Amino acid sequence: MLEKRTLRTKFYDMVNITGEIADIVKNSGVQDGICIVTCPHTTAALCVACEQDPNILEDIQGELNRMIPTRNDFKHQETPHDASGHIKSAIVGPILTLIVENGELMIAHNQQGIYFAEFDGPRPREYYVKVM
Amino acid sequence: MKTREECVNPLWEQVMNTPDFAVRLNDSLSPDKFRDVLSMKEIYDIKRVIITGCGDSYMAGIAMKPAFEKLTGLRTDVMRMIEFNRHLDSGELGRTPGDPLVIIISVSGGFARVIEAAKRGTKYGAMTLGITDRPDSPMAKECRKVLKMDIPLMGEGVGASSYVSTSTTMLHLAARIGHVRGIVSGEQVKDIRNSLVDFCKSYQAIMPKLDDQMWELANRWVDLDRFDFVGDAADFATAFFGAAKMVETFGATCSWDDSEDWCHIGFFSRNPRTIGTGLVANPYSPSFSRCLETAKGMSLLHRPTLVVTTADKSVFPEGLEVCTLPEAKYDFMNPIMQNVAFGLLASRLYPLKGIEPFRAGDKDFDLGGYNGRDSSAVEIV
Repeated sequence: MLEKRTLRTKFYDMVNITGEIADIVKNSGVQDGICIVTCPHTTAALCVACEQDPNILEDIQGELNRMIPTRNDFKHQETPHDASGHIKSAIVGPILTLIVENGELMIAHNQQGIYFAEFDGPRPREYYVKVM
Repeated sequence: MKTREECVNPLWEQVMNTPDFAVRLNDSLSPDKFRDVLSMKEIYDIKRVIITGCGDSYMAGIAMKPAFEKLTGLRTDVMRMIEFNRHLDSGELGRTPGDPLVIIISVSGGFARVIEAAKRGTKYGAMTLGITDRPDSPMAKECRKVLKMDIPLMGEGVGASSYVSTSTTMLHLAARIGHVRGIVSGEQVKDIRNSLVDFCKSYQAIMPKLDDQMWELANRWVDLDRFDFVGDAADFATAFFGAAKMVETFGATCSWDDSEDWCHIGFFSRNPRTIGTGLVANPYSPSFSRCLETAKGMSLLHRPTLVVTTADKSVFPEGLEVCTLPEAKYDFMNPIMQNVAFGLLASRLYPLKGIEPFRAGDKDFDLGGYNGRDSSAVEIV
């Protein structure tokens, strides 16, 4: 079963998609297995991060910006945000593999969240979830 | 009196085809073209934009100034070419490398003054960008960068509208610069492109009705020889365009101004009932209230007046001819198409008057080969 979800991001957004993925896992009926989440984009990524303090999400985007700032001398000349976004996406990665145990995602509930990280935007985006 | 069919002419065909032309033009102006013209570094070097041109090109610059400022976030000045070439302090050009961006517009790129503008801008260090249909023209060769317009052919005998071409090209260029500078998102750039196509298509449906209105008006105005056009800021471009077409087609004595100065000066022209008057008054304009006051003055003077607007007729004083046109999603797009009303009027007036455009066959204009545009000496000051 492959599920597709769409979302609208803001500029440099961090969208919590934990609830949607948890529902997909629950509805899949899979008790013990794996859940793969992937986004078909090259200026966005997926990550697991702490959901207890929104400042952490800002820190993640902020530190990535400091490591890979928008510059005007990238070889890729679309826009500075787009060019740096490609690099951030490659580093953070567009795929997550999560364990399913007893019909639920094995993540630290109320601590860990699954995030769609937007490194450009605003844009309509999508991601896919496979549970097996 | 001539019939409508007898008054069909190349200008009329060109104006009637403007919406189709504009849609095809947008297709031909691919995003790749704008991505390649200036690098990201070159875009970030720009602190100020100067747009200059002559005639229709200058009007297109005025028309797109709001779009440029809104989309790029950069101060934008539109200068008359003689002002840019001979009067602007050279210290304003090249304060820092690649700044300002000087956009020189000329479809042919061959006139003395545009070559001069390109030479001057480049000499003093500005980032000169020529927008032209001829990248091998003398003007283009003097510019650091060239953006070719790729004007689509629209069938035999139908020319291209340089005003629509240049203003559309500049709008896409502004969106590209604004995207790189982070002022507008990629999604907004796409929306601007799609909205412009939708806007041009909205004119396709109204052209027959608009032609009916302008034909009727031309028959009422056929004996008028004095004309006056009024519009503010970007709408001044449409007013200026209207005036230019009346001069070029049947040699009208014409003036053009903004609403405030018209109330100070143009208001006092004698025999107001014999002055064909064009007013461009759009409700989204910050000076719309002043335009309404101006319209009232025109009405009280019994001036034969055509109002070009996106507003309903009921907003204006009774007795004025109101031409309500489709409204674009983005206000700054409206001047690209609103010129068609005055263009159609001119295209109907000159055959009705029996006058050849551009004084063809008029002995008074046989100047022994003298042409004020080509023969002018190029001077760099």
